[in-house]
Amino acid sequence: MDNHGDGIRLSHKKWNTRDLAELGMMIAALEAGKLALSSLPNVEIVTFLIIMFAAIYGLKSVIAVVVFVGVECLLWPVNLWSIMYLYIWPLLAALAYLCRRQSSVWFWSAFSALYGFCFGGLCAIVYIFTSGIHTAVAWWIAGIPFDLIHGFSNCVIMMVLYRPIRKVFSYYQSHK
Amino acid sequence: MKKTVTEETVTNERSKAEGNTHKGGKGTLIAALAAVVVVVLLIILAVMFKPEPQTGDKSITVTLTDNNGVDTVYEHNTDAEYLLEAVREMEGLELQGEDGEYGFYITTVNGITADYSIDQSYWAIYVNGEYGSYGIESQPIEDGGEYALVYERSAY
Repeated sequence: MDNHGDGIRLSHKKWNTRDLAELGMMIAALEAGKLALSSLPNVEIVTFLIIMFAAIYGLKSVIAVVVFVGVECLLWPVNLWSIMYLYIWPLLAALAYLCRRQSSVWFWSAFSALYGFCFGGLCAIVYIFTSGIHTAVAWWIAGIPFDLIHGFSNCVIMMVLYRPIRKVFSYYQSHK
Repeated sequence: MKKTVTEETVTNERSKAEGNTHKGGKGTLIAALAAVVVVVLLIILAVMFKPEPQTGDKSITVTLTDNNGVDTVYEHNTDAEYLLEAVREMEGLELQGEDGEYGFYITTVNGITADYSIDQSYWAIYVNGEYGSYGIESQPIEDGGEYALVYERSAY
């Protein structure tokens, strides 16, 4: 493992126990976070966690996200949402990884809000292939109020949790 | 002592790496502007394409497709503006459901229950032959509209 600033990059070295433990921690946090807020419509903490993991752990977080999607497919019947999850969450991890140098709470709040606003549009891509462009657009537009709630709730969660969680991770990183 | 020096070094290196981004900067401005632009676009789209219910008397057709694929057609005249209200007025069509995250969720029609958690079945709504984008509670109805409640199973 190579540590470059805040991000940890995968290298040719084999994974050690710590890497596996961190991977397990990320997957467990994603699953627990999703279940914990599943009763609240369009309010979720998965976006926040994926962004934090991508910014802190780099590419390792993408593997955690892929396993998380796999666990979701095992827990719930496979449906259209499963297909959406296959690209929605890894895409978020990849975008957050590309922006990992950013450390402003305002940047990440705007970023997570933007992703929430675009969530319905990104999910609608699947409907283009299953039901056609007309249905996909109609489905996306019908869900805009939910996308707005999603974006604003993402923003609030990031603004509240970014600093304390970042501080915890920074402490954890500096005490390796 | 050695540990303290290491911590300081890490902190200093991190601060250098963060640079001005800690206070915001160009990236923050771009992200914030993009978020504002997207919100405005979404609101404009939502307002432009918001389905408006028709007032007054309307004649509608509701087709029930049960779990065996058998169709039963119901015709109805109503002043109701949304499909749920109209269906509840109809004789011979008994609807049960629950208020969920996204509005009223149909569970049982004429004694036939669709349970997604058991066999991935659900009641789908079709509007003039196309898959409905709204729940039954928020689906506006129009004069001459053809609606369908179809028992379906997820193919995925």
